[in-house]
Amino acid sequence: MEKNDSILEVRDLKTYFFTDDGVVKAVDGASFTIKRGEVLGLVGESGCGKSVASLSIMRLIDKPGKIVGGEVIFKGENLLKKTEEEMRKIRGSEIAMIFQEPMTSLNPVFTIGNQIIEAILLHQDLSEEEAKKRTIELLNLVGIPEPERRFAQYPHELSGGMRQRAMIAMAISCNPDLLISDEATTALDVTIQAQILELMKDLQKKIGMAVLFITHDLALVAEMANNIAVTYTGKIVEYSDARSVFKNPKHPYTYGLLRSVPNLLSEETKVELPAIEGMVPSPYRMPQGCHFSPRCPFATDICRREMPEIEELLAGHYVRCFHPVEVSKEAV
Amino acid sequence: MAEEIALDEVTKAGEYSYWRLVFHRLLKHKLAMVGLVSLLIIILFALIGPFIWRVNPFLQLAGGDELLPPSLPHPLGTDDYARDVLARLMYGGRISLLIGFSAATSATILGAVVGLTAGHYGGIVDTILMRIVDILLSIPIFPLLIALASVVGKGILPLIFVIVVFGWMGDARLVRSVVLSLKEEEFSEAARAIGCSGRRIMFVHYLPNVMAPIIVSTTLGIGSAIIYEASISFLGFGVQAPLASWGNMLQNAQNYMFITPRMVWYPGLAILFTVLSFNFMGDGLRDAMDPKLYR
Amino acid sequence: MRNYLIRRTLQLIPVFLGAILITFVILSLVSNPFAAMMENPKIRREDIQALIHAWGFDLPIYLRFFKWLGSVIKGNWGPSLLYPGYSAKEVILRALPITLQVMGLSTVLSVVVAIPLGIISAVRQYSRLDYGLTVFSFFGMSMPTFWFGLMMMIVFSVWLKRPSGLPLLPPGGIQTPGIESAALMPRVLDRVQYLLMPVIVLAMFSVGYWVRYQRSFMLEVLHQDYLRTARAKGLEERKVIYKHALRNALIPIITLVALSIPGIVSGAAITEYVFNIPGMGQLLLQSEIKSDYPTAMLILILFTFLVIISNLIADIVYSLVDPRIRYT
Repeated sequence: MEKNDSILEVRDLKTYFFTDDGVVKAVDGASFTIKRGEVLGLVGESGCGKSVASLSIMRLIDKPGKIVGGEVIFKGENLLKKTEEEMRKIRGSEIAMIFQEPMTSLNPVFTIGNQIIEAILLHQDLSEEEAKKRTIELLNLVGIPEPERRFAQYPHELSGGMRQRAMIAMAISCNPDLLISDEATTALDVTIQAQILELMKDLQKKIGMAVLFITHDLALVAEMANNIAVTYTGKIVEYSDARSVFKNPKHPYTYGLLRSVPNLLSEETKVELPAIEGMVPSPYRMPQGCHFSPRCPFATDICRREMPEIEELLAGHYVRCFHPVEVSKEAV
Repeated sequence: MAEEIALDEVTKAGEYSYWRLVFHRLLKHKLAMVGLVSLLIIILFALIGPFIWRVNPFLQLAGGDELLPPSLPHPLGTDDYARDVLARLMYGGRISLLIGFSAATSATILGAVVGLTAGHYGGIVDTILMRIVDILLSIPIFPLLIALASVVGKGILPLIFVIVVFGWMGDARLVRSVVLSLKEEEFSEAARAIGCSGRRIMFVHYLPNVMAPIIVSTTLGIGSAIIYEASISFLGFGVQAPLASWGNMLQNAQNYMFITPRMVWYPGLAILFTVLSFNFMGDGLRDAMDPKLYR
Repeated sequence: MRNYLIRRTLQLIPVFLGAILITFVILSLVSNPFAAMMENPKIRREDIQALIHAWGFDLPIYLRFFKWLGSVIKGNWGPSLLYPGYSAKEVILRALPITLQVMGLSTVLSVVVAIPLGIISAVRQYSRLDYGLTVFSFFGMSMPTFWFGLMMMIVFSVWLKRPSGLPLLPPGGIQTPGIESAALMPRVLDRVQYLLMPVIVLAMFSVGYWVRYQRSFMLEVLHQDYLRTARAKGLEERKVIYKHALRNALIPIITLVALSIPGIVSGAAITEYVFNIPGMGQLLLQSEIKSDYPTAMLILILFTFLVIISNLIADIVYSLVDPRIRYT
């Protein structure tokens, strides 16, 4: 039986895309768990299947993609077995999602207020007046000044940061148990990024919702996440609590990512930042064996022949590697 | 999702050149292939046909042989001057295709030059040229074609001239907008920085990028030029008797429409399928050259 | 908004004047516009001389332009050469409502047919319906309008007959002789039977294009991120498409229709000619064929005016409908 304080448990999720040029295994056996009120950071380079994983949880995958295996247990029930109508009740009210591009994620021909009210009225039995009041409260909560004025404005009249705040307001409007943030800060300026992160941390504590925080930027997850899952080509390669991942990275990929993050030390000593050699392989031509082996400085024959399984190396610290890194990382 | 698939297209594109990629995509486009095949058939019909079906399209047979129904010596019958319809259809095809092709190509070239100039030089040159485009686009084209045709006279060359004079505007706007977006890109700044002359920039640097929409435009333009030719000849301007074009064959046919309606069918279907083929191909080309992936 | 209107109108005036100028220049290139008239025994020498003076043909071309323009603005449009005895104004104004009926009905028909078809085609992309509609639109775009008119006439007037032996639909003309004295309803029905074919023929060309364009507008909208957001909120698919997507996809149609007006006018001209409908289009073509250039110029100018006004109206409607374009 699952622990009853875990809100989301993804087991061996597989989502494939059946294209004219071949099958893309966007998510190929991913497993992770999020407890109530916790933040899980899902990290990886672009194209590693993180977004697809989150859309799979919401069952928003469309042709040519298909969820071909695994389970998504949300509050004890497998979402993959639910009907579309049941999913619609869950989307927006129990699980909410915010996306990367606030510019294009909001409908340009409807006002901000209109779009938020739509989310509220869809799941809650309120009158339009009450919904409007709630919306203005929400806009206030997310830090938008003059909420009554902004309510009647169109998305193009708001700045990028404010649009993202509005998106967040829309997402939390029905007090979801889980918020999925899919690279929500990537398209914003650095200072705005910081503000939005603060807002999300704040709200998360206030509302007590769990967050699945997807990003390619390690620095961001250091701040927010309780646990971190590192993905590579659709598989989870390292999974543990945040501290362990940062202080004691075991997978060569994680190790490489951490080394390539600029820090004060490298600034001062002007040490060249090591980059991970090579590129993410094309989904149509995955290498044999471990997918990271062509880029891995520790790769040996077995790595090039077989794909390692994910194993619990230390307590609560899972790695998918034949030669996990032994060096303990200095405090970052 | 879209990013992952796009990633692979980029990788693939690194192996093929742009045109090979276009070619491959074109082959997959069903309608375009249908259009290509039928176009080849039509062109063969018009160009090679007369060498196989050696009948004089101008020869008027004996009086009393007018408007005969299809028979062995005349598979499509005879027209109102007792001439063989099949032969006239073939020769007419040559003329209609010739007019269509030359008018469309010339119009596109003219339009491209105007567009390149307006886009590159900007300022007052751009404003004047685009005002002219706006003005010409506000006047209904067809009556203006007839007006100009009545001025420059009847015949094939005046007809081509007329179609070109009023057919370049769309291309000019298209090319200009491409140039404007190219101007923003870095290679343009680089070219200017090393001192390329205006003409060089326009033709050597911009033109290759403009080729794709131009090719599409010409293909579609041939279809529309053929329809213009037909309409103008139908009204009596354009190709004159005894020369045949699909348009003036229809003009003849109109007089006998109620007695022998098939005279209206033959040239009309010829025009329809020719234009259809060009349109299919143009559409296929457009999709094949489109950087976005969905059709 | 008012400022925008004023500004736009001021911008359009030079375009309009430019169009008038070009029309004038082209039609003035004809060497001797009065040649046909000189031959015509019905017209007296003195009348021709009066015309030459009134139209300014005894002046150099640049002065002629202004003289002519002056009289046009004052409302003096001169006599009709096609219909001696009538003024050009009478002849044109009599033909005007008919053309407006033909063009208006045809445009409405095109919009009502093409928009929904384009949308369905996009929503069900790659289905058999989509392919069928695609082929259908290509046919519409590839057919010469006048040929389609002739074919319709053959089918509905020659092949298909009423029990009485008369054609199913009249092959030309605008009304049955003697119908003017009848009541409103019979007159309307009578007009309908004469207009049915020409309106459909004229609509066909536009429908072909518009279905394709609407399909591609809708497809673009269907790939937008905000639809994903709407689904993530838990909105049902039907609402996602018909509330969120549609509202965006209908906006470009306005510009499309406005830009198509010159094409519709051209099509109307030849459709009226083929179906022998006494509208401005037929009048224009006849004037050009029979060398009544003054009348031809006037009609061309009226049509140009129509085009320019439509563009202005389209701009205004666009700004009302798209919140991103608001003019302070």
